[in-house]
Amino acid sequence: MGERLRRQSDSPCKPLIWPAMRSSSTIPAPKIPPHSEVGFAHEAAWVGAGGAVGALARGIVTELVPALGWPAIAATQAVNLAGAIALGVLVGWLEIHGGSPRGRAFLGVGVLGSFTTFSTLVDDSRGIAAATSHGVAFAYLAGSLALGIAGFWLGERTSARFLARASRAQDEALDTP
Amino acid sequence: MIDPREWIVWVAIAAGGVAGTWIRWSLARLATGASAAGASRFDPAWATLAANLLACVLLGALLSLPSPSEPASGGLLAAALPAFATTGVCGSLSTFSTLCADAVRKARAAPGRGAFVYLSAHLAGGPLALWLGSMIPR
Repeated sequence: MGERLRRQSDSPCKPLIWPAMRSSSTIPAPKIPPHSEVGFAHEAAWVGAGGAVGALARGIVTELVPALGWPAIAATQAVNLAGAIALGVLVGWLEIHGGSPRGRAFLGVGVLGSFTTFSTLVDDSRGIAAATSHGVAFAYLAGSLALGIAGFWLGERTSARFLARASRAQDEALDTP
Repeated sequence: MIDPREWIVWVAIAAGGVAGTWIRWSLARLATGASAAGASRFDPAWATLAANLLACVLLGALLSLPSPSEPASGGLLAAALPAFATTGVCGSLSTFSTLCADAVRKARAAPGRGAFVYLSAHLAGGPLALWLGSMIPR
């Protein structure tokens, strides 16, 4: 009786333990649909906290750039370009890792969404229109968008490619005895 | 010592950042229909456009408000309120990074018109919304 019980409890142990010891990159990442894992209040808290951090960081850059002797529009360009590249890196990372609802809420929607701004960019272009012409202001706005899109795309491709190579290298290291 | 007028501005920016981000997030949730899991009602890119244009209207209205002749004469609230509304709410309600992400996503999903229409709506709608907002206080 005791012999049989011991054997039964022994047998399922191995298959239960070994998948956990494998690297997570060898197990296909679960596709988590947005909003499914994090509750409303939880997500609201992450988004709000990220929004506060992003707005404060943008406020600091807006204070620092004129102090360095650069025009105020340089601050808008700096936060927007940096934010677009950073979001690209984040999206590339999420593509490889199958998505993290909390990371997307805090970093994507919160910090980076709040750090970058469109209303100030449009107001900057109004200032340019007043100083030069409407054509220059439109070109400034269109050029800013093109720069941001290029930055996002570059960040995403770099991040996805780098991470894909890193996880492949990890797999190969695990497979070789 | 730290002037309370200094730090109240930073508290106001953070509070405005929370408020603006929450409004943008709520618009995105409305578009995707977060309550009903599965297919989204609208492309969340249109929620980004709505948030950005709303922020432009708001900023246009706020910047054309008659400013007090001597801002230093006001109390703590007078120092904090403009920072809360402009840098905080407008800055955080509008977004540039998500706009770039939406444009790239749209261009990938359907090469051709989608991304072009989306970006044109921003290019034309942003200045128009700012101008419309500046008409409100008059």
